Amino acid sequence: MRRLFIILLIIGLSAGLACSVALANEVCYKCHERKNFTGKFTHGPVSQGKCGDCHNPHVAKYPGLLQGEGAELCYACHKRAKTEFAKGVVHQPVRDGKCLGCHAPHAAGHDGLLRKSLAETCFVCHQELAKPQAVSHKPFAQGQCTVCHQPHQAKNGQLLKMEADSLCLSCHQQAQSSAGHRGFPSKLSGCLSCHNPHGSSRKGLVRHHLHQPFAEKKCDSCHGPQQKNGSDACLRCHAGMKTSMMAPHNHMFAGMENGCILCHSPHAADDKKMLKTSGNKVCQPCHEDTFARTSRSLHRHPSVNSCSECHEVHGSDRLAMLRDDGNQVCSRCHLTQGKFSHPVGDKVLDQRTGKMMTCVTCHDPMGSPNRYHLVLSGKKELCTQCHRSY
Amino acid sequence: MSPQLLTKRKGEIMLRKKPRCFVGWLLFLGILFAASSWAWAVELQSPWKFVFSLQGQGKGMALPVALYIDQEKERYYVVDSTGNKLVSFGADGKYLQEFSAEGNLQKPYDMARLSDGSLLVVEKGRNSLTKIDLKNKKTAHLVVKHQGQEVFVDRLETDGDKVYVLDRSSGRILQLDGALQVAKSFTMPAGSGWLVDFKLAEKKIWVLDQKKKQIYSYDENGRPSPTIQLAGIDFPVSLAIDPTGLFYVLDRHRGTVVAFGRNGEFKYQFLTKGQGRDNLYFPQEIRLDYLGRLCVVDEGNSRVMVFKR
Repeated sequence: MRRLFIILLIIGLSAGLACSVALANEVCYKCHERKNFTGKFTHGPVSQGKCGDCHNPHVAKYPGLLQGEGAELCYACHKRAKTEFAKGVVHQPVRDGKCLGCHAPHAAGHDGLLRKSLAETCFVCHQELAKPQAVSHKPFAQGQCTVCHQPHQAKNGQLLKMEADSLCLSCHQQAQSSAGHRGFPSKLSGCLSCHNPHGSSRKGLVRHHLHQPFAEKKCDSCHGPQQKNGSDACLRCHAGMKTSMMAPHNHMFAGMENGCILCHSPHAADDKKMLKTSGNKVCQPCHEDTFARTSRSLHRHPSVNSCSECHEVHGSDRLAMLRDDGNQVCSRCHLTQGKFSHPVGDKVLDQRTGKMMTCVTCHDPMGSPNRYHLVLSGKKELCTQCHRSY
Repeated sequence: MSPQLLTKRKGEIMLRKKPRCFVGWLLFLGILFAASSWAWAVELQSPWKFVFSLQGQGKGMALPVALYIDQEKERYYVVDSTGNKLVSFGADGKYLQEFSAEGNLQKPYDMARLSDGSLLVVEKGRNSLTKIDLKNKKTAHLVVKHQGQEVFVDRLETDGDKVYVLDRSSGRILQLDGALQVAKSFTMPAGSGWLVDFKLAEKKIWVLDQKKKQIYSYDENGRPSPTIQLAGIDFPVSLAIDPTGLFYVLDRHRGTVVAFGRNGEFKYQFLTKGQGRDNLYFPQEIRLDYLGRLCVVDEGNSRVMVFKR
């Protein structure tokens, strides 16, 4: 009896599948070429002919006659992914609900319905990594990005599968006894401070630019019982930086470790200023709130190469550690706005505060819900702050 | 189907539909009421009402960064870092006078009045703790050193003859003696972030960690109390300890004051970012005065806002 039930069930399911495939065959593929929906790997609903799972054949609110928008449509079936992908550090396309940035919806030549090979998919956005290097990390050279990274979300920064040092030492057990380390530190840590995990011009994946004392193997210049601790170890030579940090707002961090090495690598770096990472990334770990606000803002200043284009990095007398006043810092790029616009400058005072009107009186370049990243709606609300009679 | 039956059926349908519709509307209105009540409650929970603001005279202050409250003289002293001056106000908020040590102050950042009547000023431009003898018009600049290293003096607090400073370089609170030499140092827990403010209250030192969003506290002997974790803030820069059992934490980026319970539980928040009357724009310090009024140094709007309960 049980066997009979199973047989009937299989027949029933097969018949259902055949019917739905037949439906796609009979209806959808009459106009849409079948070859565009088949590949080495095919999305389950497509192979089952269930076009209607994602598309409405008659009318829909979304382009492509889709039943839903963005990731929400995918999460209708991939339910567990919706909760999983919201945890920890989330990959930007996932956070933005752009599943199709990496995945093809119907069929693809690569596992996981990836549009291109794994590495090529990553390089679409991470273009700087695609440059050839003299020495490459083996998994990277083989295009196996997921050996170290998780594609959707992770508990660790840079979407690493585990904490960076543990991840390195999970393969490189011999690193502790490496001659290059000269027995220091006693317990290996901070591997990425000196090594580039993808590729480098130097042997051992040591980052390209070396701190002069390190290059000259003069470890005692900074380390050793006679040397100073904390930021003093750096400021002893870099006296100019000390002066620039003698400002009301500065990046002299009151932490127990040397504050300088929060941003700079003391031994080797890919950046000639010995910054730990490039561009804006060096600021992000501490200014996560600003990056998050900018990211979720509807209107924001276009991305710039480095925060330091507008902000001082060591110390400033100005608000938000701007390099110059709120007009000069903007009009370096916005040349015309600096000459004709709403009057700004030291002869035009903000009635609310009695302070000089500047670009940032009305605009918030870090992000706003209003057009032109205005601090308030430009239709009326913003103007009537000062022009009350209107 | 007979018309009577149809009517009856229609009646049934109506009877069944009406309550559903009614319940739906009731539910909707209930949610709407609850949401608006909650919003009002959050707003109303803040007991603070604006009293006055300290703004200075003429061009006012450039960028005020700190407030010292002299309980004995019942005066407010505002430190204007870019204006290179100290501005005093009466208990009613009335402007009194400005002091710049004859134009010699360099980026003052904090100040206190010592028991002998002299002023102690943190000058960022000199990285010095500057003692100003007002009677004799003498000024002494002292670069504090601790364990052979230069101290980056930041925030300053006094308790009788004891002077405490926050060292931005080492991340320690240092207690200085009468000669302004380091007498004791308070070390933060391992793995702490960076410190941005501290206050003395209830015979304890309360320290704000901006990175970890935590409050540490130590008694006079350096014994720590459990760390208090804060949530729901972006960029804390200053804290005030209310004897009624609350912490007030100033969020510089959000332009808001957030009240927390003594275990770090969120209570309420008030003020928003902006340049209007109920706004803060890059605020820098928060303090309670001797009357229990809350004073917020609103750097971006060049004023100090004073609120009473």
